[in-house]
Amino acid sequence: MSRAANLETIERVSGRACALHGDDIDTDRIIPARFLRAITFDGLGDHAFADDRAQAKGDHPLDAERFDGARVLVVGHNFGCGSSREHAPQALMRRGFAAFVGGSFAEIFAGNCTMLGLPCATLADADLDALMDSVEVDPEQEVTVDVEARTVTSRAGTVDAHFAEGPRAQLLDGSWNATAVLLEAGDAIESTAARLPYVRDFSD
Amino acid sequence: MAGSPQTMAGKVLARTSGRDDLSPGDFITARIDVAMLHEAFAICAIQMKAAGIEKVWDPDKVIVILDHFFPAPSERHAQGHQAVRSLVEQLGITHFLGHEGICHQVLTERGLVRPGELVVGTDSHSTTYGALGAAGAGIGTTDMTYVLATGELWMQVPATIRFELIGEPGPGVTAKDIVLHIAGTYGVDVGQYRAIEFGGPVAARLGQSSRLTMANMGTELGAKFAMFEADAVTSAYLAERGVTAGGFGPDPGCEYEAVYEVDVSPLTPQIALPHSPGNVRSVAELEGTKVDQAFLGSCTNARADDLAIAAEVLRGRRVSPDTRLIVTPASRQVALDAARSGAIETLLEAGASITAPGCGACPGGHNGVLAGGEVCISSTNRNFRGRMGSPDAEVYLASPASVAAAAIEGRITDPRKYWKGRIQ
Repeated sequence: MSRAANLETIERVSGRACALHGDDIDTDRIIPARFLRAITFDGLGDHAFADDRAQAKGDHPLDAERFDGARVLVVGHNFGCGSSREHAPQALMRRGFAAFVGGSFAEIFAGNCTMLGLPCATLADADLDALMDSVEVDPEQEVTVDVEARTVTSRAGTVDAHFAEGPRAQLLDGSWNATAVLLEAGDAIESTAARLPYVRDFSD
Repeated sequence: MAGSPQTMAGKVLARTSGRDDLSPGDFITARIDVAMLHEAFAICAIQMKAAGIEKVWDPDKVIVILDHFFPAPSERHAQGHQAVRSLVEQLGITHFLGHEGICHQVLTERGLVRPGELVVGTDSHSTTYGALGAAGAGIGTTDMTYVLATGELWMQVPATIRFELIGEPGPGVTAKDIVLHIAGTYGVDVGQYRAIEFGGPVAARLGQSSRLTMANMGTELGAKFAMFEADAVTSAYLAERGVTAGGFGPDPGCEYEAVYEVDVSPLTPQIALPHSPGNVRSVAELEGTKVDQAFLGSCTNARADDLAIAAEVLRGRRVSPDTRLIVTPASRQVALDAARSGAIETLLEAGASITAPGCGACPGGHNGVLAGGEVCISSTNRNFRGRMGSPDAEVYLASPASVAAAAIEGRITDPRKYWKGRIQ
């Protein structure tokens, strides 16, 4: 697979953070199924956590003024469990989040994040609690998710973060962007495919 | 050169990545044997074409189905289906099974998935294929776009955990009760970043339908794959579908990250309370909870044997006027089998509403969506808040026997009053 120089690499994400408490937050909460009817992902950002936010009547972290413009979403354990719907990270990305920090992430959700160039950093429980508290107390601060250095930095300090090794490598070399890789490799794929008889038989 | 002994997942990934030896955590590129897409095919195909690629890597290995919103409940859904049909035509997809039922049911009942294969689907319940000894995993649409174009996917090799099922299940206890018990005991993230193997003497005697139920719920345990050894039961099931397949199991001496022994003898019928499949109690503890809807459907528990159990429970009885029973067969074939066996007739006589096959109410699309304040007992796999409709509705997950028993009384009740059948 080609590794072209113009593939976008993601070494780190910095910005304000939003603290979203709770474990096992599932994909139906992140983006309820009734918003999946579109054949594109456009406009999904408006519907992120739609039901939770409606129930909280404006008191949801995603609606809180203090977290306006947050780029880093701080979450609990098993975030994104449930469906394989890419709409979940798509909705959060389209709402402005560019990185996630949590106790753990459901595998399909994390895989989908990688394909969108959104790092998922896992922290030890004590470090996560400290980060949550720090973001709550001081939502203006900048939080940095450093993929390259494997750290997360906030006013609570710089702590070690775990990134799954494969996704981390993909973020750092730009190969996370499957569409760009396909564009780069398009010719190669075509010529490979043409050599495979089972493909040739089915084309034209 | 032979590598170290591998678990079932390790064997599949070693073969599909062309590697002699693999360890959990390794990052590999695997060749995909089967790619399954439901309505998400439209997004994937459009993304692929946007990347300048006009052909899928192998039209014979791609299966497209319409199940989540079929028949279309709205004009927008109909437009989505229109896009899917047109792209299927343009890309020359061999297997378009659009109107046959729920993807996982259709692929398995048609023998389109075989032991030892690597199958990816745009649906998290793709773990279901593990019931046939295949490694099935749900992936997102961008991942799938890459698969459609190249036939390959990056994967991290998962460690494997094994559930050894021992003992003798009592009357009225089904595969659903066992897997709910596992979710309640070990948690909905026990399988996170891991493959699961279900083994032991109980697994060995389970029929294919029970294995499908348990492998299906593997994703509710957080697992990437959830696999049963392919044995004589599997071979016989596939032979009925015109497929010749041998056995497939783990290498002797392979390494498991953990082995959990689950004694099913003391188990009673189980039920998951709102809003997590891991929030599990015995049905008896919920005795008397009023239900507005009983739903028998989904890729977990809406096969012909599930409908037959419900029919046994309801034969000569009536659905309570306080509730409603919605039955959504998992596939057209299931509906046909249940029509021929008389189960459909019995259910209709009892007062059930039978819908077209498909996902139906399970993901809250149509055919039984819940209003705020309503309570539903459901044979499905997920009771997340808002999944089946209003975020103020409550969903309890249980076996088909428990769903049918609750339909009779309008309340949750121990199904063994009505059904003392043995696990098949």
